[in-house]
Amino acid sequence: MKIVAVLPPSDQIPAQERLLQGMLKDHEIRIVTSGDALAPLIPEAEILVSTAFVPITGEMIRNAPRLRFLQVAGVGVDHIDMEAARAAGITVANVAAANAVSVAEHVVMVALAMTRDLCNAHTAMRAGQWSLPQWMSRARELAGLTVGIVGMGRIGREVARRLLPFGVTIVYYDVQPLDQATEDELGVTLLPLDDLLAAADIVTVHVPLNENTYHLFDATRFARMKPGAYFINAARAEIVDENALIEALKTRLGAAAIDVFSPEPPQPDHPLFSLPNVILTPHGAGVTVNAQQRIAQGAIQNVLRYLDGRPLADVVIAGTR
Amino acid sequence: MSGTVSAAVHQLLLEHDVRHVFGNPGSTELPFLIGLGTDIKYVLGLQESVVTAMADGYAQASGRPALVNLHTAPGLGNAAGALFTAQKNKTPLVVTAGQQDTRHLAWEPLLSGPLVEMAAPYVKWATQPTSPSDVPDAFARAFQIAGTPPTGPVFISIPINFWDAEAEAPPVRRVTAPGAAPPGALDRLARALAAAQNPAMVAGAGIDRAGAWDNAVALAEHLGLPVYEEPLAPRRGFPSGHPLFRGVLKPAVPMVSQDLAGYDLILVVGAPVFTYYPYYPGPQVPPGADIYLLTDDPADAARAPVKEAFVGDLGGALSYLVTHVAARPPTTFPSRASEVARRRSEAARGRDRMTPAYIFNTLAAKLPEDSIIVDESITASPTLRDYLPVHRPASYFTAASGALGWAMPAAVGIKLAQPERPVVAIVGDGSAMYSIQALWTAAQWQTPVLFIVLNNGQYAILKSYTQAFYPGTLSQVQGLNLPGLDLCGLAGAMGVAAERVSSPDALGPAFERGLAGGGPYLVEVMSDRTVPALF
Repeated sequence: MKIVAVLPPSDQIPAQERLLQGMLKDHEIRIVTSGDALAPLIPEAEILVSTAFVPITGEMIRNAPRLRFLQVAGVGVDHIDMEAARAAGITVANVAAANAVSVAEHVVMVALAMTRDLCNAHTAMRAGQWSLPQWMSRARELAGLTVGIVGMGRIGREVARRLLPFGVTIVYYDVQPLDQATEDELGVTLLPLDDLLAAADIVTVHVPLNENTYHLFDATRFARMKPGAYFINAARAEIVDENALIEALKTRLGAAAIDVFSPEPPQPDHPLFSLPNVILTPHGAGVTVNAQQRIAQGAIQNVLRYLDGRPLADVVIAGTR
Repeated sequence: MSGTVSAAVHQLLLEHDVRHVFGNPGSTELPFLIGLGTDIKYVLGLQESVVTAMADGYAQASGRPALVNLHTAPGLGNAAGALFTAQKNKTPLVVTAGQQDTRHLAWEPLLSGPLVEMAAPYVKWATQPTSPSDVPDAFARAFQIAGTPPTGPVFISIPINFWDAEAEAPPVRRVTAPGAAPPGALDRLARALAAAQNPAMVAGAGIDRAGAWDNAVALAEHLGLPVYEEPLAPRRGFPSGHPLFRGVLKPAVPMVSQDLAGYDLILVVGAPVFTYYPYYPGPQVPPGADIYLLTDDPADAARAPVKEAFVGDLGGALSYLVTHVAARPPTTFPSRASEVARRRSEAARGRDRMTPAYIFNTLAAKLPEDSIIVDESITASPTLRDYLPVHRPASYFTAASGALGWAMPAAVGIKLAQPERPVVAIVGDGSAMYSIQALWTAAQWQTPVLFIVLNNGQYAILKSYTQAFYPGTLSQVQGLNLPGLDLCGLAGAMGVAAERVSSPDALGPAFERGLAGGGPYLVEVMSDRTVPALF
């Protein structure tokens, strides 16, 4: 079969290519690192391994008459035109839980970093300033704070498991509430979103991007948050109205930790970059070495399952081709 | 028609609607028990402190004086601790003890003793009638004195030879209790409340005792008063799930002062000002605020260093204030939903160790809303009050004295008085051993009380106290551990079904079995041994 994999550019590409060719030696493997490189290969591709940074458009799908299986090497599928994939009868799968631990640890990291104002202290020290007075007036414990988790899927639950031992109260919002036994085990309580925003000292977002979550956080929602509260977005940029976030950071919020941008990478003069109370990371919350290995393993195993005619893991669309 | 003293007293008891007498008999009680009939049930307890605490629970839960029947000096002596608790609880009890025959009392026969002098420190009124014909009248007086606010225990010593003498039952007397403080006085308080910038209320057990919950809630809502619960309240005077409820004050001067800092007027209702436990230097009331007290107890009024105290009926005074102070616009308070969330997160953290938070959160999910909690969980009590909110009056009882051994028997008495409401006694292993015989009475009467024993193998309160006030010395202090107790074995030996819970998953099902009714049930929880910092 003809297999095309779209991977992020890195110096690992030759090694990855050798590995894949060794594992799939009866098949034709091509690895590309851009949409431009992908385009000429699409018409012949039967299996496509896709990552989030190269969108799979409806046009591409319509140009791929032989494509039967689209394996996402990651969790999010919003870079794919799902309607087109569904219409074409293509099977789509992801690696659902692969980055949950990494994202959850990232949330713990930035929650601690924001409540201690870590980055400003670090920057000041590097500039030769002894910033203890500022530190003393800003540093807070996590213990006793209320954390609001918006979206209690796999990542949300891993966040809850890791934050609970810090002595926080955890409330959550999800369109699909947990069962009571799981709520009791995790120590989490469901609240309507607006009540959560009013109660939480830290709000962290873990919902998928879809038509219901686009700009879920707008000026109205930020206005409901506590003055001085902390906001974490390691989900998708479009869930947040960026202008409203910037305004809230200037007027209401204590700090924010932003991992996702639209577009990515953002322009160097992005207004968030000049704010003193923002911690910025390059869409890397879920992209630890461990998660990358887990994602690679999961994607390859699913491709092998597909080639072997066995049931697939983490099917998002069951295809008909 | 003339009859015996015994018959006259029996008749008087029925006229006072006495249906249970709590006792542990001796020879001196036999003439009273003969001819008691079946309209009054004798509830036998196997030790006098158990008997007295059962009657205390029964009286509080029924709202009427209960009769306690003890035996001579040793029996009264055994009951003394529970009588002290009844006095602190302000529980109306008519306590009797048999005295030896007056015809040889001067020779100090076996079991005789100075009963009136022994009882006097713990009761409102103590007497030993000098002639048989005075005995029925003493009972009539006793019921009136015990039941008139401030309610409390009274004591009658009755020589054995008086019971069979001739006497008539005295006519039933009706006494109208004092009403609210006079309007002229309450108007001063109304003006102060109207002028206060930032007033608060402290709700005491007296509100519950007086049946004045609705009046207290009405005043708090009318003025938007944040409401705190008095320290160590033996009953809870305000619904702890109410949006205006701000928490329980801790029994130490600096803690009360910190919690009440910033208020310019503090209205204490139905509580002493205040009950403290460890001594701390400094002013004994929060500085910077005018404190006003509404109480039905002149002694509390006299003792409290307040700006003004108003003695009288609490419900009447509270409702007077509602109609004589202009309403304040409602204030927003934190949502109670976040309180529920806080408890749930804390409980989940304590799951593996089975902390009180985990235990009470698990229980809260199983408890019917009309349940009555009888608390002697001591170090766990602050957590209990947090996790098991009260939604209606007369839902929480504990010993105002701080004594151990009260809750288990009191729960049996409460269940006898309130058979329709689920009753749960929550005690420590140390507490349980002071009055474990209560299980026998529960088994004999098949009273469906759920007894929950938190077995942490120690007197944790003393370890907490040691760590707070004698830091670094805990390893030197002997006598604080309780190894080798098998509460389930003790329960089984007295006919009460029991189970021991050692893993968190087993806890909820055990509580469900215990709450299923049908008879008493004991759940021994092998709970967290961490000593909490309480002081």
